Amino acid sequence: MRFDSYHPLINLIYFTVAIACTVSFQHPIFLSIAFICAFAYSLKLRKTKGLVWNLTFTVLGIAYSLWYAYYNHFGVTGIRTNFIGNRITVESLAYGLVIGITIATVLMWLQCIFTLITADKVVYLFGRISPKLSLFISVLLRSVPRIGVRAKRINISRQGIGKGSHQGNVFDRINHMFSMLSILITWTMEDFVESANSMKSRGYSLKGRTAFSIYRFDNRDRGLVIGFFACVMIIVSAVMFGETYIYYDPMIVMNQITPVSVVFYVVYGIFLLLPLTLQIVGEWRFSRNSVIIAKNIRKK
Amino acid sequence: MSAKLLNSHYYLLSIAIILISFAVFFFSYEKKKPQARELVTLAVMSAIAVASRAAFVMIPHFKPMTAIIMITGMAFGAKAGFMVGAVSAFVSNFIFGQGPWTPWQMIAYALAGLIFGLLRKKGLVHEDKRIQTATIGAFVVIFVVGIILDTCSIFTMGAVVTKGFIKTVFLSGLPVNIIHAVATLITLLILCKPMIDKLNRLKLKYGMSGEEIV
Repeated sequence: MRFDSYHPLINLIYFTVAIACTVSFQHPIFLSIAFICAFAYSLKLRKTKGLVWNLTFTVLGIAYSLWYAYYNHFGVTGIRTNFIGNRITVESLAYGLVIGITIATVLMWLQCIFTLITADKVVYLFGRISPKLSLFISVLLRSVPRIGVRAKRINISRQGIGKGSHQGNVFDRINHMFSMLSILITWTMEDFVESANSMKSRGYSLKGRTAFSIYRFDNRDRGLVIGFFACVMIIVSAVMFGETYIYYDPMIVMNQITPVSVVFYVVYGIFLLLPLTLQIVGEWRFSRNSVIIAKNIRKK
Repeated sequence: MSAKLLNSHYYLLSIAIILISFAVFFFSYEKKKPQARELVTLAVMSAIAVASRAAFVMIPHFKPMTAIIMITGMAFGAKAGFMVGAVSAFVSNFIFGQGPWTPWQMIAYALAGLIFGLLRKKGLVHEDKRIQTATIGAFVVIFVVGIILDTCSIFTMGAVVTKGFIKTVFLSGLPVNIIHAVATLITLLILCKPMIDKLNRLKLKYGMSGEEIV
């Protein structure tokens, strides 16, 4: 089961927390956990495409750290001086690397979001806050591809009378193009006004009207939300214990790694990997069960 | 703590302000109980704006979308312009990619629509004064929309914000803004009059209420 088979609200909570934690934790261990998890998850979701993009992001992140160290000279531990005479320091290099990898990780999360949270889910989530706006956006999302299709249809039929957008000389073509645009706009507008009239006839804007949605919040979702919030509570306590703080300027200062902080790292990792694990376990069980069913059928 | 947070998180702070301004606007829209017909007309205007951005995707930074939003503002009033601008920026980014720049584009295009709605009321821009309208459109793009979009890149580049850095960003953004302004100028020159005539005819034909429909 992919993560998008869960309720959209849960997807929203997960990605909000994941991105917020990635952006605000500058501690290298927390950051590398987030980096690995985001890398793995986008790899699982988008396969080769994801791999290519992730590697690009990583390389760009590392390149950013070099650029950053070249232009920022805080810190006490010098490595060498460049040809202008400015110092390149370990601290600025490390801080640049942290920023670069943070940006790369956020971009990887965004890749996962584009794959999982589709436009209809956005409309559904918006509909909770503002039903009118969500209707507006869904009309809009439907009509953008429809405008393209209509433009093609108009063009085809006008080619029959020698007025297609690729017929005649340059000025003719421009003229044909504009008359096609004019037809397109008039047609689309008037057609949608008609459909608005039919919406009104079917009871739009009456009291007690509900919006259609295919999502429901079942026990599986409730269980996952409880799990998420348990993890988030532990992560918040990690922040309260100061486990996530680190200073890069003027020198790298971080707290010691104790058994307790290892617990926090593990919980953070579990939280970020939960959707990926659920998907892998679901796929494994599905393939196992399909093998068993196939055997049973053969026996009969 | 809070002062430090304010200083170090310009980006988060500005995003919060932008989102609050949207929230105020959209809740007032929700309260107004728009008619189905008005809602759908504005949605189609947004769709045309988004489609126009998608149609010119091969010419970099050439976006007639702003001009369409301005025309909407002129035809249906300032609030409608704001609404169509914000929503078109949001929806067109489903095609071009969402990111930290989305709220900034939303507020920039929304303001373009709002300003043209207000200027139409004052009579500074009018569908009969083509050249004046197009010039004002180009200036609005460079000095309002472009500035807001560049401000976004100042905060998202992740460097320390200094005066020199701000100047560099604005200067390097200028060519992009000029292409954008030229696109707006051409589109307004050509489309403004026929488009508004069409919308007026639509209003007349279907008896839509008055000037301000949002």
